[in-house]
Amino acid sequence: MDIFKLSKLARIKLDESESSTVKRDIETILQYVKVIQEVDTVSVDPLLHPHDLAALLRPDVAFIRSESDSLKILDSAPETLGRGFKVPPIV
Amino acid sequence: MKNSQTVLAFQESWLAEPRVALDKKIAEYLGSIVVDQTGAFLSQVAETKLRSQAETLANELKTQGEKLFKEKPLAGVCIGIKDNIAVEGEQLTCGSRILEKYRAPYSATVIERCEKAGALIFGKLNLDEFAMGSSGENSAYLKTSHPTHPDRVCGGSSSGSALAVAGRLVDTSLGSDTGGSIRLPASFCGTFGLKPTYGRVSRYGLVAYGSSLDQIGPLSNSLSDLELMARVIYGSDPRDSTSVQTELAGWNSEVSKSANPRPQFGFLADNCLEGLQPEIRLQYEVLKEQARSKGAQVSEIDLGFLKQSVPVYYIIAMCEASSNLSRFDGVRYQSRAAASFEASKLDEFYESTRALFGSEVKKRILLGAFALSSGYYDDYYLKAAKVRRLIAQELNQVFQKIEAIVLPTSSTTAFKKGERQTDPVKMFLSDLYTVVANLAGVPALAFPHSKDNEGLPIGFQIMGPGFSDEKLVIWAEQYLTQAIDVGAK
Repeated sequence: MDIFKLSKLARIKLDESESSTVKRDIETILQYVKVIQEVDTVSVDPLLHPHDLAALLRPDVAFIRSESDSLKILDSAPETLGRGFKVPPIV
Repeated sequence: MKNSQTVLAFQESWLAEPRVALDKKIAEYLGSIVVDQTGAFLSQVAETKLRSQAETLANELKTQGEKLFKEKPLAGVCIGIKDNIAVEGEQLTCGSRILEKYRAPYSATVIERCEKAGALIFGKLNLDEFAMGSSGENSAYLKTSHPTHPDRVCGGSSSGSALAVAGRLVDTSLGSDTGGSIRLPASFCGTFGLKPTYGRVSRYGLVAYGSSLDQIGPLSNSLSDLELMARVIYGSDPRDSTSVQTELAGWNSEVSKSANPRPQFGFLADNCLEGLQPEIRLQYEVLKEQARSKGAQVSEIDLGFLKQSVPVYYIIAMCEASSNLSRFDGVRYQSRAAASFEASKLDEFYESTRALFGSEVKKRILLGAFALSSGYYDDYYLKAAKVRRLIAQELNQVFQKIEAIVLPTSSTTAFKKGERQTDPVKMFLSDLYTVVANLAGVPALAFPHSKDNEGLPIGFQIMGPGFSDEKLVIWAEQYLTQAIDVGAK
């Protein structure tokens, strides 16, 4: 397990002291969870959701929020641009 | 003297003196919160708001009399809310620095339901950061302590929800349970706690941790208070696509009439009880005899899959967490640590804000990212999901033969602070008896039973098949609880 690659993937930066503790803990946990590898799961479907429900779709009708509701959501943003969240440039 | 009335008893006394009883109760609770040393509350709702709500309710009571309690079953009930459930305009920190300044723009469905039913929301309660933890030691804000033994943990992750109820700082509270987070602190602190059948309580407005496992549920000092809360918060919700969209979601009080008067309970066989604290082992036998003497049929069952359930649970919870917590990116929820806003420093932008996560949260996100990454997905996430199905199937087979399983909530009573912080696996094993209910989506009710040699509460739980929630309350009352007050205070 490459802790540096992993931290890059998850956008979680670890300082040096943190990365050794976290690496140790993760290795301990991975060792511990290995026990499930012994279980025979041939022809078993994964259970991704407790009730095996298909995703329930609601009627295709727009749910109109009031202007003040939208503004309340935008209030949470560190930075806004017009009526949107300001996002960092990617190119 | 601390208030130890049940809600129904309070409502009766309030009816006799609509002008004073509620004001008096609010003053008592506010006074207790001020001197609380356990770290239960992270924030309080303004007293003026509470007082004006109380005045409105008192006026309604004067004009409507006891009819008010039909329309508003939680009228005059003082409740606290775990700080990962949204209450409009109030803070929603999830116990994390990353949401320090965030205020909820809307209320969770459970909050709307409680408010409509006349409840008074006192404030937001402490928790392990993003509900990740079994001890209550992972909050980025206030440290928590056990209500009667300050050197002990109170259990988590709904630490404040159990503390506020056990310490009589509120009547009841709401917590969330992903792998035992309601039942474990309830047991450690000597209160009741209910983890509902998955999908019967809306998750709308609950900050997601493990979406296929999370459920909101109540904690209380009595079964009647627990049922009163359940009656209000259960029900389908079109805003939560995982909510059960039929009338089966709602709490059905009629069930009591059809509950088997001689239910068959399964108690765990010896091989499932290895490592159990001797006093808990002893009390488990006492409980078994008690259930039998009260007329329940008791048999021994072997849950061979218990040992696999914890690894399966942690893999799935961490994978779902790594996905759910990707939303905390420095763009939408107040906190942003980055000064620079340049394309060349995009990774730095995300990383600097996400550095605000605490170490337990970082660890779980990283583990989840690992278990979902190419090359490991099949061996970890997919494998865990397959074993999850086997566990659910085996549990359902058990429920073909018996109606409910009575089992410990934890293998020990509240342990010493710091004791398990450096050993993640030992900490995970705190959840040995609780995670099965979440993996299978079935209900489980934790109830206080007795005390160990040091006076720490011993609790057990009763777990039934999906949609047996109402029966669990009835059976706990009839066969499993004692007629003495075993609450913390």
